[in-house]
Amino acid sequence: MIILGLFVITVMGLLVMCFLDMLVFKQSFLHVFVHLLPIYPDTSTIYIIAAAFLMGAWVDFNMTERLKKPGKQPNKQGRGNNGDAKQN
Amino acid sequence: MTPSKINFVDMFAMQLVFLLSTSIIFGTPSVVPDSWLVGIIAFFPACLFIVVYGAMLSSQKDMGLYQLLEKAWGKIIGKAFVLVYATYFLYIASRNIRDMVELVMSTLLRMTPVPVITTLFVLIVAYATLGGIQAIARFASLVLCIVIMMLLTIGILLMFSSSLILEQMLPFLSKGIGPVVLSAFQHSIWFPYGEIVVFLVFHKEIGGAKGFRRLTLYAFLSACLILSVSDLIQIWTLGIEEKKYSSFALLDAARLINIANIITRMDAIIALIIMFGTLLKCAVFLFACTEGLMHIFKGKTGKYNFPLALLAGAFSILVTRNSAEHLTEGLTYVIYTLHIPLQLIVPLLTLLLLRIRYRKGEAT
Repeated sequence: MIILGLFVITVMGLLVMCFLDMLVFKQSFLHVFVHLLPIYPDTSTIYIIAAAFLMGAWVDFNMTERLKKPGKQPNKQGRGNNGDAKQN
Repeated sequence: MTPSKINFVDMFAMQLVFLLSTSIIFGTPSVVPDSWLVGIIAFFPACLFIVVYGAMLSSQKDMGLYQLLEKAWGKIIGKAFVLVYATYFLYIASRNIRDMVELVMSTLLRMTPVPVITTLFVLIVAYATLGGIQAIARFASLVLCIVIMMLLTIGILLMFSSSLILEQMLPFLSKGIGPVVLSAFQHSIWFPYGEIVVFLVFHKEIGGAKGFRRLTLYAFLSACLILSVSDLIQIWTLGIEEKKYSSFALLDAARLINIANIITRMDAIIALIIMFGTLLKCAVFLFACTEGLMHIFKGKTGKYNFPLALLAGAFSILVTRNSAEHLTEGLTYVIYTLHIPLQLIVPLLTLLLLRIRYRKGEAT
């Protein structure tokens, strides 16, 4: 749902900016929208937006848990005991 | 995270820094000669916000802005309004980031690419919001001390460098009181005072309607005083005409500090004030936006912060094509199309609906 939320708010944000640019420049919606899209000449914005969606997707699909190798559970107690043993 | 009431001083500091941050540079548009009076006059109608928002919070117990919207307008329209407010908060956050970037680009980091500054800044903002509103409030006390100390330092240093000329504020009210009052109603009420609407989201932390009224009144009063003094310093230093055509008047005033050719170039202090203030203001807006999205789409606390901060950063680059458009859009079009409807009209209608639908004594 995070990625859906991000998508909705991105569309809403772009619409708000288009609407305001229409008022400022007295241009048509399509004209303003094409100018606003972060594709050319400065492509850096598209990478920032992509990074935002990537982060959202990472959390949404629980990637951290999925990428953990099965059967490898961190055992803090065991490690602690080993450490104690080494010290002894 | 269970919300808890925040210390009164921390919350006051947060509201005050929130009001001061970008408005100390852009707050009072110099469309009238006596701009320092605009801030004082705007304070009185701005108290209307305290009345309306306080009444909204007291109409239903334990409900913030999003819950009240849903309660008053019904589930579907209410959620649509929540989404509109979340977008509004994100948009204002992106405008504030742009303000900061414009200032930093013109004073400190002229050669650094805009996306680099923006991305680094929004990552810090996102990190600040991870601790919740309590962490932001604690940070605000520190920022307020720094801001006030720096402003005092600038005032004193300007005095010692013989840059303050009191006669520069004359002629007083050369065009009468009319334009001053008009400017107060057209600009200063909505920005910064009206932006306090965001604090309705944090109703539990500010102590409900009673806490909100008390806190906001003190914050408005302090902000009004500090902004007027800041405006006066700008006029005394630069003069009415030069202030009118300066993009960052306080910054230009700070540049005039020169004590025995040793203490010079103090404009970096102003840039630091703006950076700290914008950091806090953006964190508040971003947190409110996160709460809105969590209200609609559900999700765990802290999962939206980083993606939304990056979106705010991207929007700050897209929001305007140049500095001139940014100022025109912010001080004219945004006020009429976003600030007035979302700061006054929708809250008033919501209050009216709440009063009609859930009268006192009737079952809610």
